[in-house]
Amino acid sequence: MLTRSWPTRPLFHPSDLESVRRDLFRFFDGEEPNAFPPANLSQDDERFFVRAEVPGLKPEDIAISAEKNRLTISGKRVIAREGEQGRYHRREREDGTFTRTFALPQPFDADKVEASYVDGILTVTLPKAAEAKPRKIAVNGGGS
Amino acid sequence: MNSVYKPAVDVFETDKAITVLADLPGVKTQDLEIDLRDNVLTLTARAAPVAAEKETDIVRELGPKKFVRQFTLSKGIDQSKIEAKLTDGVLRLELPKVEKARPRTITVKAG
Repeated sequence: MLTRSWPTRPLFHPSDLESVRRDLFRFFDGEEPNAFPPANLSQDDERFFVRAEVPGLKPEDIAISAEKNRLTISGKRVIAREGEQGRYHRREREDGTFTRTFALPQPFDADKVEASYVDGILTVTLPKAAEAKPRKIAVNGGGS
Repeated sequence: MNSVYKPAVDVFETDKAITVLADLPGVKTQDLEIDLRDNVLTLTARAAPVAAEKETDIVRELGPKKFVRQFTLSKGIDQSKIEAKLTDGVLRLELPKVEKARPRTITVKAG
């Protein structure tokens, strides 16, 4: 099972307080703090973006499924042994399978979801459903 | 704010070379620095999450990162033949040993 690595940082360094607070609140909000892969969820007017850190995978070993407002990414990382002769001094990189589901705040168009994999980062782009897009409402001037 | 991470590595050694594999998600070639001096190998890399200009965060678990890892290697690495390759966020570093550091089998001929 793949797990997440945490930053190596001194405890209570002032600049870390913000991330400590974020970690705490994420925990209390009910998010799984060790969910793998770690990811960012963002949006613009037209789309949602999910970007996840999954280094060393082949695109064919990543599966993405989308339904309603949920996106699930799963995959398998295979690390081949380096060779018959020789020995490992360190073996820290983990292999195995992972699955993570993201609940998006609004519905998206599941037929138009796109994904790309660059530098070990998986980016999933989810166009918002028509009813989820912000609308500009013109304000009519009164009188005249 | 950069958080400093110690990347996960595999280090594999044969008679001919030492191979280092390091997970560096989001790192581009130009943001990776490999330094070897006095048998100390230092990997330093930076990764900044990509985002379009008008994006706003909803959930943010990943921020700008700095990866640092240092190793002391056995002597006898042929510095001119070091090869590094970064693929899909994984660095593969081949550190060949100099000829004289390799063990040899010497055949003894019958006299």
